[in-house]
Amino acid sequence: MVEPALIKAAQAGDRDALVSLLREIEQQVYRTAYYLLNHEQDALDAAQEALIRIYTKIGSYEEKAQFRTWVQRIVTNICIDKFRRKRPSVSIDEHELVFHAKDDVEGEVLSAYAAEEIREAIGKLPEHHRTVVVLRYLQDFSYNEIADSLGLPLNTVKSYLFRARQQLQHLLHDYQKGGVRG
Amino acid sequence: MNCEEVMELMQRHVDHDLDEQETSLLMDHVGHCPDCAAMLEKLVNLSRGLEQLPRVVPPYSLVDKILPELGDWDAAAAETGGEASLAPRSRRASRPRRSWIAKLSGVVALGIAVGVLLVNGPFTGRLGSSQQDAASAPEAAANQESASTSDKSFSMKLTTKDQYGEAQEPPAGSSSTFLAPDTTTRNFSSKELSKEGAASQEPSSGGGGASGSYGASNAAPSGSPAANAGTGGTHGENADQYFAATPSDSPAEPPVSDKGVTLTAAKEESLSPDGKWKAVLTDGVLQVFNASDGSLAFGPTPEGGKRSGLVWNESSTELDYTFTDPEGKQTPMYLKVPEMKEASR
Repeated sequence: MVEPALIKAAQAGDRDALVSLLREIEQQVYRTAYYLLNHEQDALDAAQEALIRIYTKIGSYEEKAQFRTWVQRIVTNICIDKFRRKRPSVSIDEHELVFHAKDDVEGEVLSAYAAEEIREAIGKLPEHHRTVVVLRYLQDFSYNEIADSLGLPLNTVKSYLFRARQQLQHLLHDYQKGGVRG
Repeated sequence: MNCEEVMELMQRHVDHDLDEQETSLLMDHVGHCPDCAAMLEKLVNLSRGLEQLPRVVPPYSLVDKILPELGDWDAAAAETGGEASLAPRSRRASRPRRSWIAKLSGVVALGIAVGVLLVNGPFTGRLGSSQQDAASAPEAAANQESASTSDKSFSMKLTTKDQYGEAQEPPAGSSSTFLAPDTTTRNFSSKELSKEGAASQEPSSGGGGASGSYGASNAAPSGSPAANAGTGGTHGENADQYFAATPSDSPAEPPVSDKGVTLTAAKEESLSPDGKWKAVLTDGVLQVFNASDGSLAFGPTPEGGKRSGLVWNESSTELDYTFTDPEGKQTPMYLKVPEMKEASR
């Protein structure tokens, strides 16, 4: 949670405050980008772009919105832009995943595998479903916060989220059935 | 209460959105409906898996990386005055005592930059361009002194401070919540570690970037930073546009298997009588698209079992088809529209 006083100082033109504000949010910005783009380098680029935009646009932030939803709106817009431009997306390929899984201690493979599977499945969701899932689970946003971030009606957010979970179940079910990996 | 209504309760349940009464309704139903009980368990498991996804962190400090660029933007904003939300003057006024350190570190940094160039000769990439900049660095530095020295060299100081350690300083008070509670982070960061070779170059190029920005900020004060600020506006305010109809952008994608092999098999398309939906069967996998904007409304259905024979009812509220399971057993099924719920006849 970013201190309101820090935001105020940053908006008033205190550069130190603005830079430390960016430091506070850089991890959450990166995390969203990482799960939306499913690609480390793209995520780093997008997160940096988002931080620069926040830096230059801090003056346009209005207090009636929550700061963190405003931040997430900026990073999700950048990511959506990116994966629309770069379709079909080249995600971290299968070989790489298997390779890394084998590198790990055996006990860790099991738990990590599940996370990898889920991450891959998220990458297969349509973009708005994916965005809603990422905000719900990687930012712990409520329905309302997701709606604010994406400028969507509350009911749309719910139906996207519910449908996304059903799709994930299908995708993960497939995954287990077709288990030739590992 | 039927199973469909319960499905919605289940979904809201995993989001902790039910009140007591709704929770007991759900539990009552689940108590005597084994199908829903199984469904609920699966959903809870999925949700837990999602909650436990690794809280990945960037392999280096992104803020350190962009500080030079931010400095450029400040310089540009200071010159154009205009819409810049940062007022360099007031910032300087707020910490006057730093100015002599700033000047000193600016001079030292410039010295390092020139020294590095002299010693190392040709560079690659970004450092290469800083070499040209450095040629004009003396005049640039002179201007800097009067313009925004403190800001510029402040950014340098931050950059050089972290130059050798890639572990970024976690921001006070926030780091603990961001870091993964579980061990799975390790697996993610192992991937990041494999790129450490690349990442470890970042700090040095960051330093080079900072020295380069001495020249660059003077050479192109209103160029890229201003353009950057310009594009920012359209995105920030208008999130909806990304969710609005973009027909050309959302083509019907043929299902692609895990192995990256595009299935070129039989394709069947069927537009609903009201023209709102387009159902597409590709090798037995069903997807339904919103005909107006091409967005995916349903599916793709899982592989293993095939769907065939699409038939819409007149009112476009039901799409009938036949499901054939891997053993060859056929079941008549239908999709309720626009709810996009699948059920057997």
